[in-house]
Amino acid sequence: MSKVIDINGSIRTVTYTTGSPADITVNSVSVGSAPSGGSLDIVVNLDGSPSGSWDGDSWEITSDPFPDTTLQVNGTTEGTVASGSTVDIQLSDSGGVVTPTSVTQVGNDFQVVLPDAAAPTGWVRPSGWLALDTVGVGTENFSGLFAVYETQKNVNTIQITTSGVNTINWGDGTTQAVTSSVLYTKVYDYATITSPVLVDEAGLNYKMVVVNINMDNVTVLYIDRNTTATVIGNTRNLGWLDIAVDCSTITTFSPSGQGFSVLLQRLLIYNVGAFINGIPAFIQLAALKVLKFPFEKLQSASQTFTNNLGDCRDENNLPLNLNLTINTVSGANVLSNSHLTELGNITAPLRNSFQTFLFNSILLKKVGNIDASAASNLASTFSQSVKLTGIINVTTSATLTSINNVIGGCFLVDGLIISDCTNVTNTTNAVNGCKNLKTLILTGLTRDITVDDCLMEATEINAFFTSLGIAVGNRTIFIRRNPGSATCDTTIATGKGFTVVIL
Amino acid sequence: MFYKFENNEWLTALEIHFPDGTILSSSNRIGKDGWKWYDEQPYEDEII
Repeated sequence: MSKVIDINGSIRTVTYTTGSPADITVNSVSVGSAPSGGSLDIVVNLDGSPSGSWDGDSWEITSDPFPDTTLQVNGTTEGTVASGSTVDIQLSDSGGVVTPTSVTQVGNDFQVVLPDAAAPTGWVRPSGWLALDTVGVGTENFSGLFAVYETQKNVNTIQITTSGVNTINWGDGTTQAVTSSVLYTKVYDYATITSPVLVDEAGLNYKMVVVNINMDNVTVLYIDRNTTATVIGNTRNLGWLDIAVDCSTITTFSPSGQGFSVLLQRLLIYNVGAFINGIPAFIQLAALKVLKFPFEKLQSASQTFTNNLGDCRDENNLPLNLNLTINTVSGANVLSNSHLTELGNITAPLRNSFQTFLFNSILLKKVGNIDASAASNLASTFSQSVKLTGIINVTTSATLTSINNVIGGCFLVDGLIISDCTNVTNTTNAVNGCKNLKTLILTGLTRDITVDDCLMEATEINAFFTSLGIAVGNRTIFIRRNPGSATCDTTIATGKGFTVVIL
Repeated sequence: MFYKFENNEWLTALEIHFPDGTILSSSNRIGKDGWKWYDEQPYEDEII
């Protein structure tokens, strides 16, 4: 650099050197230089806008965090996850973890393709069985497949009450014109039966006959009567395998009440008269897999399907729905001791008792909602159904007086909800042994109850207390040895007049 | 432990909460409504 100066009239040019430009670095990265004595303005932006501040030794930039991410499944929000975190979606079904067929990401959308669910495998009619005659709504006939064993006495009995003209075709080439209310007995000769020979699960050879009856004006049909004919002895029917019947006038039909149709695998009842009684007419149906039954016309139901009913479903392979809309004559043990694993809804708004309705159904895992709005008695309704799970939901009314042992011994039940307990006076052992019970709602209960040794947390106990009514007299709630016993809000119950015992 | 003999069996509790606000507990070992504190399970003839 140079500068012209005048020294005592003498013009001189002075050349001198200035300081070097300074290199400027930011976080060790060179970003430019500034002239000696000069300055360099370094613009600091965040997302395109000037940002940050000098904190004394560095330029500090603080950004706002990204908001949490919303997780949706098929368009439904399922929750949020923190920004930057990992989302792990677990795919499973009742059988455990499901491996997706494929996962494809398009933008923010993940297409998760699951394997097709296996089609339910319902009962399949054995291919070797002879076909029944056609039976359906309006056909007014009976057709049944009957096993004739090689090494057994093969006795079939049929009794019909009728005002019509009816004929029994025994299936072995013989027929019988029917006189009303006469018990007819047929003894089959294995050697003369022309059907193929099949072998049952016990390894026994049997042949088959198809028994057909026209059901015009029939009101009563027994196909299970014992016979005491001298030449035969006291013999029970055992041979029915498959039955279909349609009869618009019948009100009593008993395929397994006296003799037991323990081999029967399918029972299809398409139509009956105005009602049908079942006291007890359908017991010991241990092999039954398919049941089509006009539950809506079942009038009397005492021990109707009790004792070893097989794990049957409806003709569409769905759990049975018991639509007992006219069932006013109650009786006990309707489905007790059954082998059912699943049952749909039970709708019996006129039935006055559910006592032992499903008692000791030791394989039952699921049951739908129960409409017991006219019931006074839920005593032992589900007691000892040791595999029953889920929350039992019962609609009741002020008619209800007893929940004695209602789910006693149901070790796996998750909860019990009874919509009206205002007039219940008997709660003995209502939830005794329900060690998995987490939910208990007994709306309006005013009496003592013991809820010991269940699995209720404090919030669930508080909800139970909230469901209670005002105690009638000195009433005590035992709520011992539950996870929430020590921390529940006892004032909810004591405020209603109950004494609460905790351990 | 609080004990109460009723219907031929001993009832036990760590706490009893009454509607009048009384709470029987290890820090309030008073007797009430048949409940009484015992360090060990009492015999039936000890019932007062």
